[in-house]
Amino acid sequence: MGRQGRLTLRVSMHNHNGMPFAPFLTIGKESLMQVEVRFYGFVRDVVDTSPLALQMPDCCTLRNLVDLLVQRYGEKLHERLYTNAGELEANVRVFVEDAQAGSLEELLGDGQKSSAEVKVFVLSATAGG
Amino acid sequence: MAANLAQEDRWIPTTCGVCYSVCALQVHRVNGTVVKIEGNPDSATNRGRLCPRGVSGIMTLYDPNRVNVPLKRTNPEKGLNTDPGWVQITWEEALDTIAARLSKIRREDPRKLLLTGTVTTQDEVPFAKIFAMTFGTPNGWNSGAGNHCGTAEHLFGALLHASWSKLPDPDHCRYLLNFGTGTGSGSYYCVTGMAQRIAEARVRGMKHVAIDPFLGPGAEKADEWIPIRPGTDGAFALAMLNVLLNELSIYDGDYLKHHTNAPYLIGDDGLYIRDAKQQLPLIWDPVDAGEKPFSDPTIKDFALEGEYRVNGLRARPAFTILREHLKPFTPEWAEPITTVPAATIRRIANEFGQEARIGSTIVLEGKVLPYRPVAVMYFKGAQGHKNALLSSMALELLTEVVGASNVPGGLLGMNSCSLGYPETGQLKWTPKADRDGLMVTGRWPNPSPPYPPREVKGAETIDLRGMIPTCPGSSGALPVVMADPERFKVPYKIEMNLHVGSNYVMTFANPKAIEEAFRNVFQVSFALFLDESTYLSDIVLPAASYLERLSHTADWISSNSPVGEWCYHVRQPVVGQIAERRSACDVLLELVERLGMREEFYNFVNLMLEVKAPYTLETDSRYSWEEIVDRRYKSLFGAERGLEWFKEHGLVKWPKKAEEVYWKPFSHTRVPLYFEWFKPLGEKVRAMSEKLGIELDTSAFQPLPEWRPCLSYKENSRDHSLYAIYYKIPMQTFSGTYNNPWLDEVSKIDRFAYGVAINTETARQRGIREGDWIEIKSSPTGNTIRGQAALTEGIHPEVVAIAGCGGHWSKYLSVANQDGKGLCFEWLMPVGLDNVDIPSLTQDQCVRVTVSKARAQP
Amino acid sequence: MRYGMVIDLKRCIGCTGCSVVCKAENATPPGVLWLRVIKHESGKYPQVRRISIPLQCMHCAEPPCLEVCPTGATFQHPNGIVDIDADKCVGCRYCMMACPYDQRFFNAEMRYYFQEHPTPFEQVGYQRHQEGVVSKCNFCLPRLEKGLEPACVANCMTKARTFGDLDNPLSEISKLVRDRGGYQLYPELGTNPSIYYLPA
Repeated sequence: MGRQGRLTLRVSMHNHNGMPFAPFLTIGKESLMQVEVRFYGFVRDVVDTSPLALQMPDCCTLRNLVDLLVQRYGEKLHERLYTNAGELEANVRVFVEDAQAGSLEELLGDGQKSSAEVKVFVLSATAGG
Repeated sequence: MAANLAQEDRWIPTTCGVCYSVCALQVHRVNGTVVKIEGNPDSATNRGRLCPRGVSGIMTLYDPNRVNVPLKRTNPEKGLNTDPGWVQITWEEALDTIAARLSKIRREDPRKLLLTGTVTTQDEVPFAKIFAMTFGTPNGWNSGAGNHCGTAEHLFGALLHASWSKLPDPDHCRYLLNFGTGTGSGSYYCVTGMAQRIAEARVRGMKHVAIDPFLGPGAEKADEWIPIRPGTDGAFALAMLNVLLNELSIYDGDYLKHHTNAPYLIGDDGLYIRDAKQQLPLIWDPVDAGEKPFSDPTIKDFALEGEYRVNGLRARPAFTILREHLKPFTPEWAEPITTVPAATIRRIANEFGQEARIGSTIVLEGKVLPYRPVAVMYFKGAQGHKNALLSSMALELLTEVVGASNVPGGLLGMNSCSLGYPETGQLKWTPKADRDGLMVTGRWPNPSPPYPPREVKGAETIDLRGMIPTCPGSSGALPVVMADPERFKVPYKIEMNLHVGSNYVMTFANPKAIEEAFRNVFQVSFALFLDESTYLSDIVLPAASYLERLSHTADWISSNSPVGEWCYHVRQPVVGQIAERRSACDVLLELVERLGMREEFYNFVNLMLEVKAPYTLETDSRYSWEEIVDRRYKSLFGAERGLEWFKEHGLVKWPKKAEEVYWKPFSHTRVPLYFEWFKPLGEKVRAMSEKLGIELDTSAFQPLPEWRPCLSYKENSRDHSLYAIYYKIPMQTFSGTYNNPWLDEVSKIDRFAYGVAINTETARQRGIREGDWIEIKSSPTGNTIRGQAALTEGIHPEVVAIAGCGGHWSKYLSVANQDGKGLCFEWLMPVGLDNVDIPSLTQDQCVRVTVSKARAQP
Repeated sequence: MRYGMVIDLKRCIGCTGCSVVCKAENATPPGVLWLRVIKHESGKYPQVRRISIPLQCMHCAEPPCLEVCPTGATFQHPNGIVDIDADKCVGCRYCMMACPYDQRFFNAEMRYYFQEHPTPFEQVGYQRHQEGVVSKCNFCLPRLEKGLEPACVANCMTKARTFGDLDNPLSEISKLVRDRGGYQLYPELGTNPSIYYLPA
């Protein structure tokens, strides 16, 4: 996990009720940022809470974040968000601070910000023509 | 005559909502009463004119059968003919009930909500889609996907034309090969605008060849009518392709080399041969005598022919494989299938090929562009079959092989490429190329276009669309899965149907089967009338008609004519609120509040309605529908052009450029001649279906077209020796116009409109005379419908043809439910997976029937 | 000045838009259809042709209806339009028998499209109509007076209709009749209609 391969990360995660999850990775040295993740759309049957508050190192990419979410919510979220090739499905749009992310390799933070708001939209096609 | 001193005499610009063409109107209101509806002469869409349905809107506005108050059922029993026992309730009670239900479902599993819409409400249904999306369900459909819509046709629209639909270039086309559509004759897209434009083309001398089982509104205007057996258009097209490529050697080599995957090397496994390093598809450069990735800048030429070896493996250009593949499909082979003489097929292929004028150019706006003045049109009729994918593929390839795709004179996507509104740059979209060089559409009415395909998901949706990403819109399998989700391993059942403006009970297929699938679902309907579908409703909400509501509209990418000008309109109420009618958009906003969905919903609205800063919806405010429309307009057209501006001016328009209309020569994208990814996709679908234990016939996922008879063709019964088909007439739209008494008046005097067209000789053999009541019994459903025989020489002897979707039985439709007001074709059509083309989920719509004179002749 | 109309059957698609817009413009009651579209089929399968032919009052230069009208209700304007003064019409219907084109209509009893539920449109519009009289196309005279074309001309989706002055050899309709071989219906009857058709 993590961009640099061998470097592992500690994240502390709390669900909506403030209950902590056990950290599952060892500590890194980067500064942490508060990340709030909100889910929208055809994902409510998979994700049991929104928003989700995380702390992540600011050198994380969006892919790191999404992988973490998949770990949290399981295979069903993976199937909902990703193609088999590991890219976001065309009907999934991720926004970081109201700007649509062009790629999962984008950094979450820029070293300056202490927080980020990430929105994950899963669009559905509920009627055709 | 009383003298009327008018205190008020206003003309209000708005848009029509009777069909999906969304023509622009000027509505005349005098002292509060609407007295006339005319076309808006400023609009580029319909240029001041209207079809009969557009004109007739006044009688739908004022129809006393209209639902005026919210209703709830008191009869717990639901059935097609079981009166619901409607009682009036308040809006408050209605919304309380609805919100409570929605809340419960959202907590339990939002997938249990289904959205049923229709294409004719181009404002409310898209907004309802946003609601459903926010709610968290993937389930929705437009009911016309059964009998009235194109499905495979839209798939190929995405893959080949970067658009939902397409039209012949009315300015330059010289030869229109029309497989069964009514374009220019009162149906298909951009009805009024294209009627005018195609008429101009006709007078200009465009030759129109109509291939159609019935001499209907489209074929009547053709220079040549070629009758064909229903469901066999694909065989005709295959034979034409064979003649063009293998007998005449007529094809646009240049176009194929540069704008399609015709030169891509295919291995014996049917897949692209890719270079080891970048995994890009390879082509063979005959000048340098070696394989190269398709985008290699050193390429000197592309081989379309030949057999080569790459890494020791046989490698053939896709074009070579296509040519070889077509050889068995001769006109002689096609003749017994289609009943079209081989000589005719050969002659048409020759005419088409010659008229394509391959190699010629034309100068437009100072640019030299390929000139290919031929176009092949097809829609519901030709593709509404079990062989939808493969037949549509053959029909489309006719346009592609002669290079007539999205160039002057040819077939134009509606609307593939927009450079944007000049003042803001918004509403801009362009087809792009993916890594394999294949075209990805720039704009699509659903979140993911069919290409690149989404992953095959198991049991995600209630209609197999999650499993079959090549279904472009609504699925013909929805009622099948809904009736038995366990069979399809769908882990939930639909519990609630949010039903907006469609008469799905009548417009999909066998109403009895639909009733069974939907009977146990809690249904909330926004309805103009207590039509047949409301017999299954629990709550009916009085809907504001298009003349009574506000919307940004004409965003539907197929409303704009393919040539001329871009034009975006407003839809605004022309009268004050009547009774308790409300717009669905308004009501949905209130439900959003009651469900506590505001934050999520506004986020989706900003995204889906393209609302931009500084107009984005903020969560701490609450916006009315007017305000949202205003913000969308300003986001797209600038601060000066909000709702108030549009209410006054009616529309904004600007000229189209040649590179928007004829985008193909300007584009580096390639379209498939060889649908390489279909086969592996089919294998994934098969694997998933096997994993889930569902039986699905995925054999039609093929890269090249072939002939597969639809079910009615294979049926060889002496009893059911005729085919029944449906067609569209300009006086009616689907089922929704039959209560309009003006349209009824003109339909009554047209023996075809409410009757059954039957060949004179076929009728004589059965002792049927003009005007006799006859019975049509369906082989697959066993249902019988009846109507009056309209004898004609202008129909294939094996065919009976029924117009529109009449035959209403709801007791609340005082005009439409009388005897003799048309027939409901859908009774003849079975619901079942056997009747669905699996790759596109298109419903088959031709059936074998018995036709006999009714014993009782009133 | 003689008003006339040319209907191009090559353009016409038989959509009945003209028929319905006439009804909307003139608020004609049920059963009174001043403009209708008929279809004419010829040939044997598979060489078949079916064309749509819009029909309305032909505004004949020699109108047989005028000759037989006992009250002078039917009269002709100087511009050629054949018109009916409803106040003078007694509903004898001799004119309907005399018209070879069958384009005059008798409103036996004023009805509403939804029986006992007159729509606001009808409440306003039917004030222009009387019971027990004959009515027909009047080339939308009230529109002409405002400088507008007849409703059917203005609305036709395919621009199949052209309106103008038959007495002016340079008018668009005169040119169309000349250049495209415009013809009248039943010319042998000597009615000299002011409506010409261009061949399909």
